[in-house]
Amino acid sequence: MGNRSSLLLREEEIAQIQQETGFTPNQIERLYSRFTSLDRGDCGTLSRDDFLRIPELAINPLGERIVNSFFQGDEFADRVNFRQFMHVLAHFRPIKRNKENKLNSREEKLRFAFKMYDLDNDDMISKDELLAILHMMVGTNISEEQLISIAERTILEADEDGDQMISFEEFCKALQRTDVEQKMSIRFLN
Amino acid sequence: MAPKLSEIFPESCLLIFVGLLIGVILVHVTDSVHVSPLTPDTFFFYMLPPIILDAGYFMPNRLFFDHLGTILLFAVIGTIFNALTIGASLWAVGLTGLFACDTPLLDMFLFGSLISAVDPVAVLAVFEEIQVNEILYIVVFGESLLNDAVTVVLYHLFESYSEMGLNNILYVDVLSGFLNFWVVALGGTVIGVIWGVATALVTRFTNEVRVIEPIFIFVMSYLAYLNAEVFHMSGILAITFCGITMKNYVEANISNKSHTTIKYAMKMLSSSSETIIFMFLGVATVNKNHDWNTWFVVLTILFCSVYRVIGVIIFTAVANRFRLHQLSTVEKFVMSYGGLRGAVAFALVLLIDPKTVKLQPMFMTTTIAVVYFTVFFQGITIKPLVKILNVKTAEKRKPTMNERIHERLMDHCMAGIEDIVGQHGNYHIRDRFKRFDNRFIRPYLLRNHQGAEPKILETYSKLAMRDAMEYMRRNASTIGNISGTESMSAIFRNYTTVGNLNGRCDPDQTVTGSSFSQLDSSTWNIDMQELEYNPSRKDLTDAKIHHLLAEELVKPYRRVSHRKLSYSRHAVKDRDLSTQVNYKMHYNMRRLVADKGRHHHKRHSKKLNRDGKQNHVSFPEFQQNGSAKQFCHDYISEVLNEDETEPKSGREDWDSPITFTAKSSRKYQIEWGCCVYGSSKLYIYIYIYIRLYTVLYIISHRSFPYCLF
Repeated sequence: MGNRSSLLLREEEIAQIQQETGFTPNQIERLYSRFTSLDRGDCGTLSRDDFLRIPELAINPLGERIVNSFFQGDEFADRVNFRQFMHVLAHFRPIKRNKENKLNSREEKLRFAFKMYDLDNDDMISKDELLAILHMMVGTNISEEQLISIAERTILEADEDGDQMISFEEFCKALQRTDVEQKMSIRFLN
Repeated sequence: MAPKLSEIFPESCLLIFVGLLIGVILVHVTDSVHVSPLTPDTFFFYMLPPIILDAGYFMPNRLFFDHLGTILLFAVIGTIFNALTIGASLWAVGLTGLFACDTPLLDMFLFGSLISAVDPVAVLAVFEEIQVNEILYIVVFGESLLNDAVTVVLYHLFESYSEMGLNNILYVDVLSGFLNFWVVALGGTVIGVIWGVATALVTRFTNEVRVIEPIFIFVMSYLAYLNAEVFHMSGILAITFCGITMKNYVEANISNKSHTTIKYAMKMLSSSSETIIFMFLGVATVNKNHDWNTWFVVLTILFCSVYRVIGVIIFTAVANRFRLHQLSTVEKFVMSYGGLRGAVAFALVLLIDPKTVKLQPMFMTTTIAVVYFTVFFQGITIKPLVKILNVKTAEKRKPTMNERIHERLMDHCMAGIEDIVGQHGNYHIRDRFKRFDNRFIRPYLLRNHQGAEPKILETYSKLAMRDAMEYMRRNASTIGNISGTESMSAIFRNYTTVGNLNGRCDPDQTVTGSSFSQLDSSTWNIDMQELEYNPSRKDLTDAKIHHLLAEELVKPYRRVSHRKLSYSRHAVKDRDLSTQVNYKMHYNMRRLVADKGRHHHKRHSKKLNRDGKQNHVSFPEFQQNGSAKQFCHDYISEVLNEDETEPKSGREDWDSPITFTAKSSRKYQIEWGCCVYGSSKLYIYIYIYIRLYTVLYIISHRSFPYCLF
């Protein structure tokens, strides 16, 4: 499998992706083999269903939102190709001190997290959006009022201009003490 | 002088110094008596467990498990590496004849194994003071906790080897030693986890006996320790993991007060143990069995330091290959510098039987020297070094709501990404454990299991509590706001400024009375009778007052009356203090009520003469009032009885004022319905006025007694 897939990936493609995302060729090949194994229809792109076929992701409370974040680029995209796939994953590369990369900067990581909340793509987290995410995470065992008050409290805490919404700037400010660089990185195997 | 001293020296150094002084005095005063308070038994059975329990219970679980790989690498491989290299080097030097005594290989390994272990007590004592960042702390401290299993196994291994003699050791013995390690380490861990779960299960059923909750935590974790020791497994591992396991479940089950009790009792026990250990170490230093061998001491210290540094460099290089957070050079330095030796090594060296190991006195002296060197020299210099090297220091803070929620989101997100990438990393494992925990463990161990994210709820309730406290402290006079209804003053303003009963509110009132107008429109009914009775703003305000009083005031006083009913050995009377306060407050209130009552009564009767007949509902009560007066000449009870729709006065005396306010307004509404269009408006105004006056007095003085006492 690994062999076949790496054959399908041309050298210049690897070089291009490496240039864009900062992954090493080894990582790219490894991720490509993962990509093809997820790609059931062998059409070189992944659909939402392909993602949700991963059992753990299907039961991840935020699974759908995570999958959705892969389909951000285009308006009507319902499939994602390998390059887009890698672009999204590049957000989670650990930050190396000396190497500047625009995809895995702190701001990009935060942007990714922010987008998870932003259901209607208006660059604002409203109370309802926060509540929806809380619903997904906390589950059903808890009373609605409690969740609402949690959401209200959260917005109140972060909201600085008093519009009852959390903008991206406010979001960053609320998380300025958090080690986002650590928390939103994984070590990609070679 | 004193603050400067404690700035330069860590507490442990000063304690050892005090212990030394005491030891010297003891030796000089009582020449014949040999004092050695720090026996291995007292150390391992009484002094060590509280410290380790404290460490395990307050272990930042997440951090610990995030770095478990690195910690284990250092604790297991690192300790073995240190023991073997130190032992071998000392033996090699011994061959040259520098020590001027026979140094058998196995004895050297035995010594190496006990001297190589980083000591949790010393590390805690020093690292608490220097406040380095949490990763550094958890790696060094975690290592010192978990290397216990290795130390114990190595120690017993070499002890039995040296009893057998070098020539009699078979391969089987080496193999069994290796297996022994797994049994000791895993056995200790498993015992700890089992006891932890058992403790959590017990606290599930202690909601009726809150007082004994803390006892279970202490006793059962100590039992875990003893249990592991009985089976010759690592007690330290057992009690550590007992604390780690039970913590989350126990916290959810026990009451807030038990939590505080546990926290402070545990901290107190562990810090007193720590104090005692260091002092006894000082005292035990002064004895007559010393055998000072300069070269041996110097070389041991040298080897300890050198191999620690080498070990750290090698193993961080290995660990960094697998770590997300790369350990930097400065961190490596602090890690190797933080490898302090302490009382565990000393207790172990006392355990050596001088009959089989001839060099025991020399080992003891050297151990003490090494402990002194690490605690004094490294302990004192580590603080300035941390400052010079600019090590990231820890910032302690409570997470905000945003941080808590967003961090959870990130966790889920990263777990999802790991699943997509197809790697089974930390996030994946944690996610999996969380799911398992929520599904199979929590429902059985927790009394009320709710939600998949207990931490979010916990943070929320903590923050809400803090907000409330803050609010109370800042504007104590407007306590009414907290209930979510209008403040008393707003209600009162509404009362006084509304001219006619059914009047629309003035523009300036819409601010305060906005919710009333809302209420007005919502209760609007086309039903003719309802229109007739059109509930005025005052009516609604009155209802509001009633609810406010019912919710805010009645309850606390009712609880006071429980005082008589429940007495139990297992129940703490938390209300004791407030009873006093309430009593005083009631006293004031009663006086006031009595004053007002007198007033009230005069006008009241005047009015009664004028238009009493139209008060269909209240009139019979007034008569009843008169009869009550005959029985009780006290004005207070008169006023009280007057307002009771049902003249039940079996209630405790000082309980009544409040019940009266609450009940009165209920009755009062019935009255409203009947006489709002009657001509007794004047009476009603007076009535309201007095009511409000008392109520306001009560409200404004609720915070008053706290200033008094």
